[in-house]
Order: sequence, then C-alpha cells, then structure tokens
Amino acid sequence: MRSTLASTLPTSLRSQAWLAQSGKAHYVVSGEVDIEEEASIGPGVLLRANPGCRIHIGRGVCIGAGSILHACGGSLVVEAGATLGRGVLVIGQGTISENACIGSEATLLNCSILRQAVIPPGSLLGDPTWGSEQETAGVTQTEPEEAERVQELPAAPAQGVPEAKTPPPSPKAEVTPQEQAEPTQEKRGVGKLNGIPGRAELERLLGKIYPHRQVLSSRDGRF
Amino acid sequence: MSTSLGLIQTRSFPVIVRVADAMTKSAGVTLIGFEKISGGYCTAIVRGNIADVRIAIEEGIEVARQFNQEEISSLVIPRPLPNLEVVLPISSKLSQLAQSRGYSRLSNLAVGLLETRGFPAMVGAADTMLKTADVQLAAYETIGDGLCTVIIRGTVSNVAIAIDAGMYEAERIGELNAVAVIPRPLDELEQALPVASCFVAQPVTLPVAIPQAQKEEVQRSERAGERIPVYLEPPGTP
Repeated sequence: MRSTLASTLPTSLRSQAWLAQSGKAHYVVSGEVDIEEEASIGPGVLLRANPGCRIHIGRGVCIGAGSILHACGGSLVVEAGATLGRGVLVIGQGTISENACIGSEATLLNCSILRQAVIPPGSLLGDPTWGSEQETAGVTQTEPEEAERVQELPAAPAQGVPEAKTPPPSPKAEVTPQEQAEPTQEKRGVGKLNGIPGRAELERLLGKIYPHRQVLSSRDGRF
Repeated sequence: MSTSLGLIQTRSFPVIVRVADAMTKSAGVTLIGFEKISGGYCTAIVRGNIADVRIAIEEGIEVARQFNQEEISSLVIPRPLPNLEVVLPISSKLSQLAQSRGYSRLSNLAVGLLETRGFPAMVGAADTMLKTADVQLAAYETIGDGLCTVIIRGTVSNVAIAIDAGMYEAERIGELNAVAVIPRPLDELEQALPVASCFVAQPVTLPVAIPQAQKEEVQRSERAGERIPVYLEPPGTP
C-alpha cells in the first residue's frame, strides 16, 4: 500500500501526513521521513518531521509500540541496529547511534546517544528546560509560524497542500535555543573555540601526549 | 637551470606555517619564504622539481582545508622565466639572506603559533603561555587586518600545553583567530620563521697576529743584506 501510494503521488505530496494501513505497518508518518528496509516499527508509532527537518530510520532498527519521534530544529537519525523500547519519546534533533538500546518509556530531548549505549527504562535525557526555552525564544519570531503549522497539520490530508508552500523554519529559531542553553559566558567561550583553525589538531596532539587528559580534566572545571 | 615554482595563500599566519611544514615534509621542495602582503594574506613560496612542487601544493591545499580556510589560492608554474625571478621575491636568494642571519639559539625545538585579532589578546596570551610551561617567546609577526601571531619555542609537550592555555586567555581578552603546533620543524622552515634578535648568536671574530710577524721577517732579511763582513784577526799575529 505504501509503495503504491508513494509511486502514484508527486514527491511534494509524499511528505504529507498519511496513515500506513498495510498489515505490516500501523504507524503515522508526517514530513520528510525515510525508513530503510528491514526496519521494524511497532503499531501506534508516530514519526513526525517538522518542515525543513527529516527523520532517518536505518536498517534493522526496532521501534517499540506507541513511540513518538518528533524531529524539530534539525535532523533526527536512528542508525542501523538501534532498538527503541515501547513508548519512547524522542524530540528535537540528534543521532541515536548504531546498536544503541533505549529502554521503554524513556524520553530523549534534543540529545544524541553513543554507539552501543544502553539507556535504562523511564530515564530522561537532555535538558528538561529545553522546550520552555525554545518557546520563550520563539515567542517573538516563530509564533505565527507555529500557529500556521498547527492549523495546517490537520488540514493537510484533506486539502493536499504541497509541502513546498510552508516556509522553512528560520535559522534564527534554531540558533537561539542553543545559545540560551549555554548558561555561563565561559562555556560560550569554549564553544566558540571549537571553530578555531588548528584547535582540533592541537586536541589530537594533546591526546597523544597525555592519553589520560580527557579523563582527568572535567569539561566544566577547565579554566 | 630553472626550477618550478609553487605558491599557496591563506588568511592566517599559523595556518600558512603549518601548510609550509606539511609541504616541506611531503616532497623534495625548498621553502623560499613567506610573503606577507597586508590584509591578513600570507603566501608560502616553494621551489623544486615540477613533480615535487605539484605534490607539495596539493598537500598544502589539503592541510589548509583541514584548518577551515575558505579562501585558498594556489599556483604552480612549471618553468618561470628568469625575468620573473629577478623582479619578484621568488628566487632562492631570499633564503640565502635568511641563512646569513646567524645561528638561532632556539633551533631544534617545537614551534607553537597563536594568532589573535588585536594586540592586547596576543600579549596576554604570550604572558600566560610563558607562565604556564617552559617555553621561550621567539618572536611575533603581524600580517595586517588586525592579525598578530606570537611564536613560541620549547619541547613539544611544553608548547602544546602552553598553546592550550594561551588559547583560553586570548579568547577571554579578545578574539582568537588560529593556533598551530609544529612538533619538529625542518631547518628551512625554522630559517623562514622570524626570530627576535636577542636569540640570535652572532659569530665572534678572534684577533690574529700573523701579519705583524711577517712584517718583522721582511725587515730582518733587509738588514741581513746590508750587513758588512767583519774580519777577525787571529790573536797570535803581531
């Protein structure tokens, strides 16, 4: 069903919300979502990518029933072999790396998971104040846009409005929450240093000279 | 016999020094020097066989890209005409001049470079670096566009730690632009780098007394020519 629908519709319509009705899939896909083959997705799963964002589900990924993956502010990638338990909630951008295991009813807010990491059930990862900060930051700029999106979402299947009409989220809206998430000035300075030419090479060199340096110096306490 | 010419330009002094280091180590090229026009543009000039120059320039571009340099411009001239060499500072005369400068006391040490936009940040970073690790401040270099680079020398571990500390200090005071560490520079790169005059050991000329001794010899031989023969009479004659 999905393949026939996808082939008959123009690409602009493929990105709209639709319900997968085949016996294989009972989940809702909305926005730019690509699912590789051999990925198993449980019933009642919601995969929603905001305009300008995308969700990528890798090969052999297992997503439990009732999970919600909502990409906003960037792309959300679930790499090959990752397993998400029942009722997992993933919001924002980030990467769930290969063979990671997310326990059931865990919540991931705008964060990435390392390879083969195991997240215990019911845990909350990421900054819990992230959502509220984004709201406060977006009040001035993105509120009308948000309202538009909310109106459009239920109307989209009936009207068949092409996705291209919706304005992409402004880069400002992406940048502001990240800047606000850094609380102190020092931290911002460290963040700025990452783009300095030669910094990465120096870090590699220091890592070779002092192999235990990363372990000994905590990231927040430096200078 | 004319050799090929390679040029590569970036907008940061530490980056161009790191690029020159990579170029001299990648192929058999000679580093002629750095050409610093204002506005932050620095050019490294290499000479050598065409194959070596091509390899070196490709390697240099790759390193410059790793250093997030957007504006890289490069050039390879297989056979520059003699007129070009006479007028432009691209011949090996420049490196000969650099070699006659004297012997630097800071040779055979790792090089650390830290570039800031603005002088106070550079001075503050240099002070922190000297207080952090056992390094010597060799020189500083300005390339225009507000960019100034401090050059430190020391063992590689000291240089790396000093640059790491100086980086945070420079960012605290002003704007940090680029950093680079060269664990073991080749001789020609060392000679192309500026060194403050206090670290250059000038050769001492010893006084030699040989000419005077020769003069005396000549005089004595003249007198010997004018010597009058004296005849001694035997004591028994009346």
